[in-house]
Amino acid sequence: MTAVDRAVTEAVLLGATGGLISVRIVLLRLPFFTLAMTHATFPGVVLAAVFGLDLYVGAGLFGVLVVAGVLALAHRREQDTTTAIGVVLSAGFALGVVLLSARNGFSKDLTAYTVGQILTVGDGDLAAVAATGVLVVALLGVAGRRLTFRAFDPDGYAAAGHRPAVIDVALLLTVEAVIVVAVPAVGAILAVAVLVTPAAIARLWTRRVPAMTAVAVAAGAGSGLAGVLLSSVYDVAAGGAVTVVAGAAFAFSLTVTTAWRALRGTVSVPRGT
Amino acid sequence: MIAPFTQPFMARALAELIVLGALAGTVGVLILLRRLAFMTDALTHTVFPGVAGGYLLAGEGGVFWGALAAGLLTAVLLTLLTRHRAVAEDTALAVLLTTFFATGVVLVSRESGYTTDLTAFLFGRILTVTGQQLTQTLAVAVVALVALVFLRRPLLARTFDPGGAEAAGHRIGLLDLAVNAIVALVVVASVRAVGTVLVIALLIVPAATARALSDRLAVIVPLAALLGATAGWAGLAVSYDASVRHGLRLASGGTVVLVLVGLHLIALVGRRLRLTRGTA
Repeated sequence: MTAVDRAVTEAVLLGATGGLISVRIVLLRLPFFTLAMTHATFPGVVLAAVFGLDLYVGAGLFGVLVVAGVLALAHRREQDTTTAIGVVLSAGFALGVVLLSARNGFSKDLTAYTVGQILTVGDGDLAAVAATGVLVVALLGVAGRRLTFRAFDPDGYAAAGHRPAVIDVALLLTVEAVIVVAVPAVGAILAVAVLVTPAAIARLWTRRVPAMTAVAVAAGAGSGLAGVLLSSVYDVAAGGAVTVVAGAAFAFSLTVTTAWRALRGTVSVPRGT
Repeated sequence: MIAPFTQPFMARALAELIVLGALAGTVGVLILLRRLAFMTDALTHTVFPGVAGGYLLAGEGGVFWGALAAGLLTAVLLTLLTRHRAVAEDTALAVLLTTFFATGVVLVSRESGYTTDLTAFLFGRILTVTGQQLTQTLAVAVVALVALVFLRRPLLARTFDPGGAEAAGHRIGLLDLAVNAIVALVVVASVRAVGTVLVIALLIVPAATARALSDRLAVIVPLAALLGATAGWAGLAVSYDASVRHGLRLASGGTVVLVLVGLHLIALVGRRLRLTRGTA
């Protein structure tokens, strides 16, 4: 495989995996949490690089800590969760930046960790993304219905005898796994695009969870493919191109669906009254 | 702790950080009360394509104006998108943030050696702040503070009683736009000197720390401004000391944030102690 082939495979696999899990993130209203998790994973990536650990091991271990921190914040009774997340987010990012700045030649590394370098992914990276994809499919296969129940009726879920904490931990650990495998490809800042935008697009087109999941997977894989191809044609950063394509697809969907609803609205009003 | 600042570049860096710390601390209280942390983070990232575009079009002088244009554009887009019914607010923010940031990345990646530019954007270049930049920062600070003082009553009404504010004849949409524009101004004023990482921390952490120490708005606002300015000075001094005396290079922006987070943790522990003593 050439570097471009590998990059395309990585982008499509990652897009599909991200699309699959993104529906859950959007339904549970976790985009800000996810953003904080990506920023807080950043020092883990840097630490792994500083101590010469495997990136996935270092970032993965740190990621488990991050999940624990996020859960501790979420379960606190005090009201200001957003502010607390903001503090965690800035602390994590600053820690990564300071650690990195103590090394020589850090601007190049920094770029690789913040916006990714998809053209340098190896077979190991591909295997990691594929494994994470299997993990996400397994989670949704085992607990998909429960996750939907939990998202739409949290009180009913607890009343039915399920334990919300268990499923929250399973979901957040899976999200963290996707973040960790997304870092080499699109970087810590843009990882959140892979994890939120596909579902944001899908939610505009349909309200039904299975259909939304299908659209999100297609949107994730499609923008991955188109982004990498565009980046190799125009010689721009691949992680950036993937994200811009996804953002453009969102803008297009928003315009079309808003116009469609407005048109349908004006037609149905006379019939309704 | 004063010696390093006798050199002109350190004095300018200190002045810039004190002005920004005080300004961001003050505006941060509004962000805290309205729970706009996520929106603020989005704004710090969406300014990037303006910085990149301004630099590509007009060189070093275009950065400020590019950032200003992008900041005000996102303030409008954010206000509109967060009022759109079909999209949840946090989802809209995440999409806008990553798309704008990625546009900036794509723009700079056309240049060779773009990693330096990206680094400058994330960390800022506090030690190379010029007199002109300092003037721009001061001008923006004055505009933002005047707007805050002028709008303080409707803004507070909107914060604590949105329904009442609307009934009293305030235009909610315009007020939200004003808040977003003020935050955008602070981000634009600071991003070139201190970088994205530091801006978001300056806007969120001092206000949260002040909130942990007091329940009264009249105390929180000056305290947040003071904390922001103090952390700017202490962080700069620590990073200078580490690099000159111990040969350990610490990014000044990141060090300032770590000082802020440290102060925040102390305040949280203090609050916990005070509360347990209060209930016992």
